[in-house]
Amino acid sequence: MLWVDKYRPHTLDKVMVHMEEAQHLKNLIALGDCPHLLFYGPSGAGKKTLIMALLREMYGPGAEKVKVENKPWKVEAGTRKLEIDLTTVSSNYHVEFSPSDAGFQDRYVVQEIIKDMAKSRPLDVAGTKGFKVLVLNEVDKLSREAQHSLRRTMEKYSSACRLILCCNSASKVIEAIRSRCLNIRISAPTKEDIVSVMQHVAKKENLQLPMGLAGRIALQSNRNLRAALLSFEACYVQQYPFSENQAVQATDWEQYVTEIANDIVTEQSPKRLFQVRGKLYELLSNCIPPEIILKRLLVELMRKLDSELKREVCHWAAHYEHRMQLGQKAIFHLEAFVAKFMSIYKRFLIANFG
Amino acid sequence: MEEPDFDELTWMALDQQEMGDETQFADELDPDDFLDDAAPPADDVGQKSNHDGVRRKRNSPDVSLKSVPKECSPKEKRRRALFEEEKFASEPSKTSSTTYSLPTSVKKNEVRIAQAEYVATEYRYKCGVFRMANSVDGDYVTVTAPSGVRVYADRKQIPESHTKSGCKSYGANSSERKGLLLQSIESMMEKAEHERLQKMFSEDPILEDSNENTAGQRGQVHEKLWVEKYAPKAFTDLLSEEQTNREVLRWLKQWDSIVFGHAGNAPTSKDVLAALRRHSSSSENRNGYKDFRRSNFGSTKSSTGYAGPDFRDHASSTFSEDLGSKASSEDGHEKVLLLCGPPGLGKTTLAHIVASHCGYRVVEINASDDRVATTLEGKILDAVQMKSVSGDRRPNCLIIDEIDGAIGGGEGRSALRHLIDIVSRTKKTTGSGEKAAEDGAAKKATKRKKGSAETLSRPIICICNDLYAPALRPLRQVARIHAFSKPSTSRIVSRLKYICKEEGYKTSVRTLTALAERTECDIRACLNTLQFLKRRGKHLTSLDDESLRCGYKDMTSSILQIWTEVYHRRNDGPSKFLMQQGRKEGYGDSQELLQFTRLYDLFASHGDHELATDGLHENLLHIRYQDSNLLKTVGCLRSICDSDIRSNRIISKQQFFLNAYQPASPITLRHLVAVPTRPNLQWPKAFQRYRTELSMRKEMIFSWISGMSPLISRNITPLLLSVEMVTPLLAILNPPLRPVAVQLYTPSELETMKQLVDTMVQYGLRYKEGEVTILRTDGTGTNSQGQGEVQLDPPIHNLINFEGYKVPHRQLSATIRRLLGHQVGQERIRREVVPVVKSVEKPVQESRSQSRKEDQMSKSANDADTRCPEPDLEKPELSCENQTPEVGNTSVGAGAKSYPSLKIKPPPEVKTQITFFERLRKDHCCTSTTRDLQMRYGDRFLSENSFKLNSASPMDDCSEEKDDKPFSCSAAVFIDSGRQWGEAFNSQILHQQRYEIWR
Repeated sequence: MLWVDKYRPHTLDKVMVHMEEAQHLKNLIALGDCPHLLFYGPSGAGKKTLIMALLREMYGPGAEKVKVENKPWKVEAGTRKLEIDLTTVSSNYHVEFSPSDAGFQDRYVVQEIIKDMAKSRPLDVAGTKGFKVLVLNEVDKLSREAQHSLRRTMEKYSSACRLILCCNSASKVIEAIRSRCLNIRISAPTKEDIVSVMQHVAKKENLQLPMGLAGRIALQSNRNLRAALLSFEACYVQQYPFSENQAVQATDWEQYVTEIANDIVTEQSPKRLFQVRGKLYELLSNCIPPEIILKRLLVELMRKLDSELKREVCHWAAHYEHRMQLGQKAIFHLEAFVAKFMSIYKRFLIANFG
Repeated sequence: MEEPDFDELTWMALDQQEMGDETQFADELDPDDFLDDAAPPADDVGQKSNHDGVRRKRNSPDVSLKSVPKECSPKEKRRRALFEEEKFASEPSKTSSTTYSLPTSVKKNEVRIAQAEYVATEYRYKCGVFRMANSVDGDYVTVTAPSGVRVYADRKQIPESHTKSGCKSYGANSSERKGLLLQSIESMMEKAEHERLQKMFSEDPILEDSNENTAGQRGQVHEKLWVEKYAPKAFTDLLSEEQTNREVLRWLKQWDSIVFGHAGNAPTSKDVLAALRRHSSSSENRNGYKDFRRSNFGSTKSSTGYAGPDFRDHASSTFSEDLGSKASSEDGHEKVLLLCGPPGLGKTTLAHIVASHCGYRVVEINASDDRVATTLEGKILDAVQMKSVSGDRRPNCLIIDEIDGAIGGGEGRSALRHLIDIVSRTKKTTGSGEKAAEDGAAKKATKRKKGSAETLSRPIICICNDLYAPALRPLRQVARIHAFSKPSTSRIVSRLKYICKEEGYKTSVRTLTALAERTECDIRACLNTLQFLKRRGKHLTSLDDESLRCGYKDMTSSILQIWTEVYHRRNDGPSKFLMQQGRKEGYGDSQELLQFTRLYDLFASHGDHELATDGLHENLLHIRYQDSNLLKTVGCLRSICDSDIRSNRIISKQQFFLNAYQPASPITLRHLVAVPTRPNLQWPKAFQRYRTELSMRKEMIFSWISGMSPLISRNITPLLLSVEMVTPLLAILNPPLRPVAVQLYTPSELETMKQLVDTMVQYGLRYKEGEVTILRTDGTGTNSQGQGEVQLDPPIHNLINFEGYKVPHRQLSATIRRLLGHQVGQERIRREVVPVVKSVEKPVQESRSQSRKEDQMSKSANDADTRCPEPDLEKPELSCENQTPEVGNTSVGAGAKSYPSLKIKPPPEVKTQITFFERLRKDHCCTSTTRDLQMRYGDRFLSENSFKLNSASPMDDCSEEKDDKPFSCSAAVFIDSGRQWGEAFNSQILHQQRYEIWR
């Protein structure tokens, strides 16, 4: 088992970051009931960990006996009959799934399946709670229609079930839903938090972790605890005992983006742009979201830039990212940004170096 | 008998077309002379039908058909009548030309008359044809046949009454018919004369007014569309490109041998083909073709069945076999002809004309007909295998018109598949037909029948507008394709002019040219416009005429044209006419504005903006435009992005009015980067490829997640995996392990190994032989010599295989990966089993379970050579155990949990009760062929034992087995031993020496 999973805290008492939030949550459910919850925060901050710990707090260890189910749901949408495959992870007390897996049919998931689940009361009378919990992941990826269909469900069936929503960005969740939930922001752990968690793991594993290495891993991880722990383990597997100046590997796609950035800076021409296009396609087809590519590319380019250009390049990056959100085909916008950068950079080079 | 069959006619038609005025025979015959006598030999009249001399002489009243052979013997008459009938049936082209009812143009009329005359007189003179001049008594005419043979025809006079009786004899089945004509030649002459007068009047400016009246009246009387009225009636009238016409004709003529089976007149058809070849510019394998012809005729005697009804009742007329040889000897002969081109260029007309010219009855299936697969198949089969019982007895030629129109969607596709089936089926059966011919005469009869039911023996012509319609893709591969291009404007204009003259409608060449230009040389549109204008009573004489506006054609151009239009700036601006038009419509003289409007219309009319944008994007960076600062590129991309944003908006918000702005992007691009050289454009593929790859990888990630233990998968989203986790995971999965046997590992290494196996099991990963993809569960433990690479499954390492990127991860050696694969497999099974092991051991069951266990072992040993997946074999046994109530509690039964679906299956009888060691012993007695097999077994056995020694495992089941004592066996034990097996097996090399000793 990876350390990420091995040392995941299972109870609210044991969490090492966001201890304050954990305490609040504990107090919240101490009275036996809780409102709908919306957890939001960046990836690797500990949202899911908190949710799991919360469930355990509510229902006891039984909530951790989960099973995976993948079953097709038959949904009647008007005249059509749809069949939606949905993978759910469920225990006796709760069900968790990502409605956005259904893609453009997510509306039917919300309208039919969630409603269906929410309607039925938990059978277990002996259970302490009179409600069950639905954990919905990636709510921010739900389409607007689906989110609107969720509003009424949340109110209507609140006697029998509670929703715990989990997402990265609350701004993509409609206002109506946000106001129906208790919003809990889980911020990314600080570098110090990460280092302390790593030290904790190292102690448990009987390892000597040099502070310098821990610091660099934490830095590299971009305040992402999961990424930090993973790369910590990767470092351990590759070389132990640790040395102070051991290389911390960036992810492969990040290195690839660095290559792209180098390509861009070394030559600015339509021909090179075409090569870059090929590489961008390559990244996109390997399931790297375009927003992340653009962000990373900007960071990489910034490293190589003269400071007087930075502001302008940032502006255009934001501009093209915005347009990317409006558009459909991310490759156009990524390429447009690269072209714009090339143009700016070339102008700068000619102006300064002739 | 010298039978000028229709092949010669075809030849003549071709020659007529090509060398209309060529007076090849003029040297020998003074045209005036023979026209006076009105006794032209057949060929000459055909040749000279539109010769000036002929036309002039038609007016003279003394033209007569009276000069016919003076006397015919009754026998001769009968023969002639018979021949004439046969002729009538076999030469529909002639028939159609003679039964042509309404002579509309003087010129045409004359042609008709000449042909009619030719028909009427031809055979009478046949009987008076001699090879030598001195054998003719009296006056004679020299005639040179197409083959170059000169003959001498004598001129005789027969009384008119005689002629009529003669006519009657062969016109018996249709009493009104005089000869082959519907009307008597005299009435036709009169009519021609009348029309000529009319024409003269109309040309006379003084009489114009009155003429206009009559013309108007006439227009009201005949409500016929000009399009129909002036449709080409003969091959020579066709407006489409001659090259295409000939190719089509030639293709159809190739069917002759199959359809008509000219056994008798081979030389003629050879001549025709030679003539055709002379005309056609295509460089085909002529020798091959000739060879074919020869072999064709050679094999006539052994003719196999003829598919369709035998229309001439030829005894030896079928060549379905030859069709096969033809297809093989001459690759150029496809069975289906596909004509394509924009509307209004005369594809349908060409198909019809050519078909009737070659003597076929046209059976048309067009978009208005029901074209569901079954219906279509029935129709095709009807058309190619039946003939009409009454009336027209010509063979059928199937024309499937508008094949791209209605054919689309599932139904159409299946219909098309049927069509192709019918075509390609032939090829198969011809092969078998040939085989049958070799088999001997006995089988021939039966085979023939079978062949005749399936062989396609009639030509099929398909017509479409869009050659690249996706539905037509399969058809494109089997059909011969002829693309129609625009006829030249001048050709269209001359025809239009002629028609206008005919209709007494005053126009100018300039106007007509403009009209043709506007309609993109769509003559149908031109004619309709003209007729409409005429009915409105307007004269189209100048460009200023408002009425010309209605001539615009709503055209969509192909997507490739659009891309070319964007990237290719031609030097010639819009035509003068368009400029003028633009000025008139208020754009002023601004070329830019005009250009803009034109482009806008072009792009807006195409409609598929997404595809257009894709293509523009894909090709943009290959265009060689001047752009030092990449400003143009930025502009172009920006414009493309705009288009993308708009289209997203249109789709997601249904704001279709935004479509109006979509053409702006290509126009901007054109403005920025259009180059004078013609760019090499490519169909956009990258985006599609990216899409398929992305969905494939997503699918892979989803399946990976579903294979993980729920405790882990609940914390993971697909995105996380690809972005954050793959890289460290791959690093963790490839620890620095030495590629040596497990026994040589240090404890820390063993610990690493254990960790690794654990991680892999948790994360639903395993190693798999690269080639063996069928194995759903891992083929572990038993794969002795693994060929191919051992890869992770699911192949997550592909997620970082970016093009041109060197993967920095350490890679485990293949041996270790294989070893890991085995271990992971064992571990998986163990995890599914172990938690349930309560070891409920009933003494009664022990022996049974033991034997079963041993059986399993022997089986798994067996796997070593058969390379079967071990779990596959275990599955039924596990479920078997589960179903037996006594053993339901045993741990092996619990293993069935992992294969829930198998519970339903009836327990297979396990009959072989051979223990592992029995098997071993038996193997030992085997012959040397299985020697290496035994070696493996023995090897494994030994290494297993030695491994136990090494690892000091408390489990001692092997020794127990040896003693054949009943022992308490739980599946866990078994699995454990199995796992050790796997390990031990891998260290076999190490123990090779011990094996030697053991033996």
